Amino acid sequence: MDQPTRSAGPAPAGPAPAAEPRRTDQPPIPRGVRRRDVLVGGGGAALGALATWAGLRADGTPTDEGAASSDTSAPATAADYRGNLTEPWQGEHQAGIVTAPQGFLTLTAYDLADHVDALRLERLLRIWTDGISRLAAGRPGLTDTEPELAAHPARLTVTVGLGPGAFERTGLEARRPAWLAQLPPYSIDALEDAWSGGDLAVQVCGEDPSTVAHAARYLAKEAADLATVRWAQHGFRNAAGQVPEAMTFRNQFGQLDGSSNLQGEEGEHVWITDPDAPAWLRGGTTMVVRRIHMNLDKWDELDRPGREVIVGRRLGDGAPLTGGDEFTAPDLEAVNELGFPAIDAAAHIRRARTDDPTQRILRRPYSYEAAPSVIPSDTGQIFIAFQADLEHQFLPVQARLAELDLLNQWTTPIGSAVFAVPRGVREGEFLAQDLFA
Amino acid sequence: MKRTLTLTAALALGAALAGCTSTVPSEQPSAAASAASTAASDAGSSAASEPGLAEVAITDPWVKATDTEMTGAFGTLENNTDVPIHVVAVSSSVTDRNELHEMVMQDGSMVMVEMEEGFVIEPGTAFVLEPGGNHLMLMDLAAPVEVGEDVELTLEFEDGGTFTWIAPARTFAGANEEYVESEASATPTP
Repeated sequence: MDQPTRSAGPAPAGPAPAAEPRRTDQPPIPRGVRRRDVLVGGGGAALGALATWAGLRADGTPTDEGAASSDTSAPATAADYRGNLTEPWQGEHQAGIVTAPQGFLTLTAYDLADHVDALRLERLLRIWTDGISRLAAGRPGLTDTEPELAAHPARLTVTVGLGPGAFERTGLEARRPAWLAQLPPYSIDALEDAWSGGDLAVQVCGEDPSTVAHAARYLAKEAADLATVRWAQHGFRNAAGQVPEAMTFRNQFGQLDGSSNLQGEEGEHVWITDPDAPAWLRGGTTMVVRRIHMNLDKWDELDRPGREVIVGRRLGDGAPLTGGDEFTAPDLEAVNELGFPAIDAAAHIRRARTDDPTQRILRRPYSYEAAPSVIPSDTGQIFIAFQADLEHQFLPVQARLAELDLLNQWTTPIGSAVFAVPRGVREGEFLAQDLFA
Repeated sequence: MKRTLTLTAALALGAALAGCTSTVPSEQPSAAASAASTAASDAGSSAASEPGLAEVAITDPWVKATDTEMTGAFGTLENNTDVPIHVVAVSSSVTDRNELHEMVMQDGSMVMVEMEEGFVIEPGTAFVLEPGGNHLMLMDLAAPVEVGEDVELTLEFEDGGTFTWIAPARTFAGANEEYVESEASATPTP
């Protein structure tokens, strides 16, 4: 059984104690294939060698290179053209959650204008639903003034969340889920208003930064009469095709990050299924966004052995210091030749563990590097976590990590926000529409 | 009386034309489909050239949200019949003063002109209404048209038929053509 690694920070994470035989005894690529299979919901038959998710179209069929472009001028016949790949935007759940993480992120939080009541909020969600339906399919938005920029969707997904203010400010307070509030303060926090809160969140992800930028701005323009941008965060992972599909994400500390978290394969921990939950949330989830500054300059002062002690893993392959590989469970009882614990009592790998598998969360982090600073660094992680039950899955481990984790000396949460993510939409529906029924 | 709209920026025209999307089918569950069937029965003289197609349809309809007294309505009209359809008037749910505007070359520059004779949608073709191009002009608005609000629009054909659809209002920074009446008073359109 997997032991989750949970982290509030740039979880070094890695892998955790997970001792899944299928992972340990197989090379990375097959494992990735399996994961992507689940993530995109595609048919296994569509999966081949290195293609995995990148070779799937929205309907899960293999890409027919040269056919599906929405722009006839596109080099659709080029074997390496993937801009025509789309992710399904309709369904039980919103896209961009268990979707295999794309390379680029623009995550925008909005404040609603004072005059926005429930009717106007509903209108905004209708408008965004329409915009998403077009952009995700590689079509321009209804009022798109740069329609060509929408022509290569490149796995574009848009995920919309509602913050506490979406209810408090629109007369819908009685319908706000009880858990939907800002996180409690933690001793490690140095939160800035500029990166915290928000009445609405729009997470735009895609494999092409130009497409992502256009989509994020288009949706912001459509909302301009009703909401203003509170903050926007740009994040990156590896660009598509630049690392093996199955390779675990490395954060800017160089740590393998998050491979033991849910990857979408265990939906019961991600999707809200509680029959008592309101209809707009059933099939939805809870979203935590934390902007975590990673002090690269201070990290530079640490030598490699010291870095590994802090996390309790080897940097190269992510294996616990007690041996094995990335997916081997750490031996937390082991002691070294001096009689001290082989994995430090405050090592991240130990503190992030939970023995309760129902506390696993889905992390979908992105790195950020804020311009123009390189040295000193203004670098970190946009920590994005999805879980069905915020109070059961997220809060306990966050509290424990805040209390003690060696990694905290190099990481500082500077932003924090919580959103309720409505269920997905079917044809003719708009996001969160049950909320207005 | 002839009214003329002069584009403030010629660039806006080029961009609008380049963005023409008349051939892109809409997947929007807009009011177009149902409205189109109404039009089919009302349009009397025309007959659909392909079974299953509405005789008149509009894809991607929208209206620019505004708190001024004027705005424009846009979308791509389609004539799916085998006869020309002559549009002679437009009406809307937000004002009594609505006009059909086209863009013509006049004294070396593109200007907007009221189409006093209306316009014809040739058989099997699309007629694009877009910012910087042909559009429906809604004037003397008594109240703001809010983003997300639905506006009902109706075209009247020469044969007495009509075509009605719903266009949602959207925030839009463009469509700021200067409105120049021949009498000389100039006001910016929304």
